[in-house]
Amino acid sequence: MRIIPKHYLRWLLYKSDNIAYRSVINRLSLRIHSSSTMRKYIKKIFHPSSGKDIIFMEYFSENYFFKKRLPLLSSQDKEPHLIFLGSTDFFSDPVIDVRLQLLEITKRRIHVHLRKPALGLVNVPYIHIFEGFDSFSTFQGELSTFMTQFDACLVLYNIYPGVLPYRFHNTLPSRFLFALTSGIPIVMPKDIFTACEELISHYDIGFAYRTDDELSKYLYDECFMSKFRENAFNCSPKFTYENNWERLNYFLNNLSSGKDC
Amino acid sequence: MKILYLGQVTPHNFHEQNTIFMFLKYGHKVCIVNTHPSYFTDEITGIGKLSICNLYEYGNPYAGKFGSLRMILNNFGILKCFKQERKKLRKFVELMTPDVIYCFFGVGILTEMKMLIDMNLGIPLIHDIVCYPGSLTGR
Repeated sequence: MRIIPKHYLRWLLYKSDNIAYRSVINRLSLRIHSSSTMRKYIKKIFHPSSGKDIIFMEYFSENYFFKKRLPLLSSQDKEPHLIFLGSTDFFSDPVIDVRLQLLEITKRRIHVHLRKPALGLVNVPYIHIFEGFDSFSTFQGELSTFMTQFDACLVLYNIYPGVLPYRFHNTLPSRFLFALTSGIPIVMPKDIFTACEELISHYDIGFAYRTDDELSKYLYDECFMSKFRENAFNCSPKFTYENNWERLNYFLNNLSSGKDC
Repeated sequence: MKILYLGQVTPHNFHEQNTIFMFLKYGHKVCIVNTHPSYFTDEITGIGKLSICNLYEYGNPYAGKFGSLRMILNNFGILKCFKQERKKLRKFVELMTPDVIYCFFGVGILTEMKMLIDMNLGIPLIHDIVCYPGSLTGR
């Protein structure tokens, strides 16, 4: 029997994060926020009075980016193909268990590709399972190149009642950031991943959907998707670490030389 | 510039590997703790200028379920068994004389940041807040 509900434990951890972090926040010389949503949240909770703040997302080095474009899978069967990059060890944590959401999506004739082990989804129609990429091949851009054959990258967590939303509002998860290295559109449920939504909306490289039917409608709309496809490809150089390095390096250099940032 | 990098580096921590790679690529020297050299790809170790100190014998004591508990207890002053680790960290920092200390979010980092702040080293401390809340004490 569980004495304390898991979501209450989670709430306690969030609270203890804030209590513990409060003693550190004003002693930092520089706080690097991954998104403007994160910065607003930190400001609202802690009201930091000293130290500098910058917004600098977790860019990947150009090494991780796609090396060539593969033909779209949807060009063969005229049905949309999504890639999902999250962990598929679904039983390890309820938040990552997105099996029900994926099954709902596949009912709308949308293919979903995910990596092994994909427990509980083996031999399910419209679900395709691929071998994961190790750190070396990911660094060489093999994952990103592989991703170029999909219509979009799906960003998803299982946000069940009781899960606190703040982390998902503020953070750009890896399953989202890797999509930027492939130059393909990004799709996600609406009003959950605030920071991610802001970014895809700013660059017009994907969309957030309210219902699975809406997701299906847009994915099947070739005219609608081609705009995102083109933008995602054209914008991808903007997301390399190399192209953003100078901004971070400026702050690093100023800090090390004792200059005011 | 010499950067002391605090973060949990494992073969699957792409962001940590990526950030260290970028620092090295642009000519900075990086000192890291809590990791094993084989965790890095050849591209990273090949650049050179990477110092690895196995402060906690290839593992962060604050990672994992029990690690989170240790960290919470330590952060609230309930458990005071970190004198040795504090001494080691101080010795390492004094030996490396970094220009800046870069802390990459995550479980365990908060304890190390607090240790460093308490030491009053006068070295700029940077925190990369990639994921918050829920990242410092475990999701």
